[in-house]
Amino acid sequence: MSMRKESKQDSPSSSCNEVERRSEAGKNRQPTVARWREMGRGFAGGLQTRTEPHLAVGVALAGHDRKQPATRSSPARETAVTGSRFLATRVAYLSWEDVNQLRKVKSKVWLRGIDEQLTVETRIADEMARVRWPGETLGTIGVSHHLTPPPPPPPRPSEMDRPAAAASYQRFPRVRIRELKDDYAKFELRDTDASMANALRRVMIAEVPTVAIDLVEIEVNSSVLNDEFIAHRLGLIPLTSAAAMGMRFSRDCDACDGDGSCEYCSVEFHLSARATDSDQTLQVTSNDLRSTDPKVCAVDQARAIQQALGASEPYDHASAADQRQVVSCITGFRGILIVKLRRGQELRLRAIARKGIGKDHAKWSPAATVTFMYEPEIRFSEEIMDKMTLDEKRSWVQSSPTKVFDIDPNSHQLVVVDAEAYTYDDEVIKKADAMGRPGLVEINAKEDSFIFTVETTGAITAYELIMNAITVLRQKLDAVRLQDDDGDLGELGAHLGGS
Amino acid sequence: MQSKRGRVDSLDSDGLPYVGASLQSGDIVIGKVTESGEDHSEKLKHTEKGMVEKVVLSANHDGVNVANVTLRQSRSLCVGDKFASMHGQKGVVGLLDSQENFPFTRQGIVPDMVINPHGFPTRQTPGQLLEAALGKGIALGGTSRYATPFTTPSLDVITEQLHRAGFSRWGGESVLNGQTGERTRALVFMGPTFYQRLTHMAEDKVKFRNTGPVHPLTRQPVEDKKRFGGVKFGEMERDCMLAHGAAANLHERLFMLSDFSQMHICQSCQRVANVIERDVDRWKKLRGPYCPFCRSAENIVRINVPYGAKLLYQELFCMGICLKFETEFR
Repeated sequence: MSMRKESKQDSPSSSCNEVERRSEAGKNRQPTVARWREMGRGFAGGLQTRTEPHLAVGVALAGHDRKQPATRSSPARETAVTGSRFLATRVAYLSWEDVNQLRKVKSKVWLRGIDEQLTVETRIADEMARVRWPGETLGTIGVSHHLTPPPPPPPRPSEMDRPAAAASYQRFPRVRIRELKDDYAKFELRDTDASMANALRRVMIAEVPTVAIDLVEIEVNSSVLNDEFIAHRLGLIPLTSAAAMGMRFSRDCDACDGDGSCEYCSVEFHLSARATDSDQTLQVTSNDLRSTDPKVCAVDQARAIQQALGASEPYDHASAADQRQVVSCITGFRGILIVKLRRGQELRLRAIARKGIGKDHAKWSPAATVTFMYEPEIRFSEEIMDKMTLDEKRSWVQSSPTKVFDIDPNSHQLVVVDAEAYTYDDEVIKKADAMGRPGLVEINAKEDSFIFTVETTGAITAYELIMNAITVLRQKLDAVRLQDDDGDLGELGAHLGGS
Repeated sequence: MQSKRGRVDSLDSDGLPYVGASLQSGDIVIGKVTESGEDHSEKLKHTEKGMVEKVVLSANHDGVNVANVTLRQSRSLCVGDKFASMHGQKGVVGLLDSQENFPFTRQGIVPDMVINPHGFPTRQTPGQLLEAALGKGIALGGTSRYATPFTTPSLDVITEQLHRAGFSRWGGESVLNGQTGERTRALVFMGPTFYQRLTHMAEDKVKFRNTGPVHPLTRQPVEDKKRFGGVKFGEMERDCMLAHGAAANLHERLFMLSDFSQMHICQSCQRVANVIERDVDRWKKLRGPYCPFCRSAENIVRINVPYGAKLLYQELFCMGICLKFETEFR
């Protein structure tokens, strides 16, 4: 990194990535007067545009090749430049040991079979039960659900020691997982209320930490997109962040100033791509990002390796480099497109990924979709239903945009086929009113059961997202509880106690 | 090469910045020096900053050099930025909030933008509602349709399409409050709409000053934003202050903080006494207010008066009209 300029200039916009740019041509300064006049004469009547791609690249490259022999380029990179560019774009830059390590980490949260599902459910439920609002132990709290003491908790196969029911208003939520995939989860959360469900949702979106590219130092960029644009795109690439919970925020890291050299708070990435003389457009993707830490890399890179591992097991170490090329070719993971390069254009940069949360910037949010719905409770009025003709029933069933109701073919009774498909759009209620059958159906939302849908960006698994969210939520509540350890709730007490 | 006028870190040896350099307001953007060594460098104005996008060095037919530096800025959205839909429904961002605070549907859809429905009855732009409703149905698996003013899909087509896609016929959706997790009572109309950001951005319009340049003639603060001027306190604002009875405030705003000045009045003849240097005797000269009409330096008082009033006096005086000032001690 001998070319690095000493003075860094941080971009003023804090919401975006910071962009640093090294001076290419500014190395050999000459007296301004002389140069100015010389250029003036030289270009009189002519036009020189500095963004002209061929020109700029030509100059920049010539300089670089001379000063910097290929010391930093990896063997894989060499192949890329000299030969099969097509293969090399899909290369995942990880060593074989890293891959094995990654596989170990992954297999821990891999779910197979009903036993494991039950374990997961119990764990989530236990964690949820441990989330306690600050006032709960005091027993005089005016938050809506605490007004009436809840029924005694149902017996659950949990080893958790719980306090006596009379002394606490603590509830014991139940969790049932309907579907759990790597990046998708659907589960029911019962015996709790909206505040808890929504707190979980909010934390999942905004406060579960991940790792994302935060600082980009651009060495050469002759592509059509400008520096900030590329930095922004890099920031939005999801990186595998299983280790993020254990990392430090670089602002809290005493060991370094978050410059990428510190293993506790940041990860350095390198990207170097150049479209060679072939006429084909070069697509620079997230697969071209080379990480210095095997735990953190672009998500689809990790996934490509994982898939390839499943495909064929025994690889010998020596041919790993070739295998890696094959890996991404076979699995067809093309990576996330960053920029397309035309012949002669080049992109070379260093990026530093840091830990962060979605509250600071959406690029750190691990959540693609986090939402819940209230479970509907649907009750028919038998009396009104009996008065309806079959045609009336049919047209009423048809009026629902989603398939919630149907007619029993034998008894010609209206039945609920899928209560959860009801979207609370009131269409059926309006239809019943319009047909002169008001009160045919009564639909209420259950106040204490929620159906969650969670999808992640791939940075962490859906399971990790849920568990980490609960951990973060508990940490936050602990922080509040610490404040009222001496019995003085302060402002919070005034809010909660209503006094 | 150094310059006393501003920062030159980003300039190359030819006096032009390199492409990609980050220039702040006040930095030198084009370094120019005459043959005698005099610095004629071009500085960025206080409203200008950005990254260098393009540098052009050229010349016109007379052989005069022309240097052109183009800057670019990335501007993230902020309160006060203006947006408009295709139907002329323009508006300004009033609140920026994070995703978790926004309402969300059971599918997890969070709106990008929430607008006030009261803008529709008065502005008569049902087109935007149709665009959203039709677009929603199409996005959810409908077929693409002509939606020119000449071939408009009927309302039935739009509602039927939405119904087939599993949504309420009129595009309303039940949403949940992002802050509490509770359901809202009303259905909220949601749909995709084309929105454009207009170039009227808060960052360009922000205008403030405490002290700064004044107009050379009137000595009142200038109004121009480019020249670091202030916000005008006009007649209507004045009326407002009067109505409130805030006389002291008004006095401060329009006089003390504007064009405060003092002049001398000769109480004998009620004319202005100028400060001049006159001979007291052969050796001594004295500088002070002197009434040329009374030929005396006695009985002269100093009054506070807006510079504008003094200017008026002088202009009338030029035309042969002399104003008289009645003054009294208080």
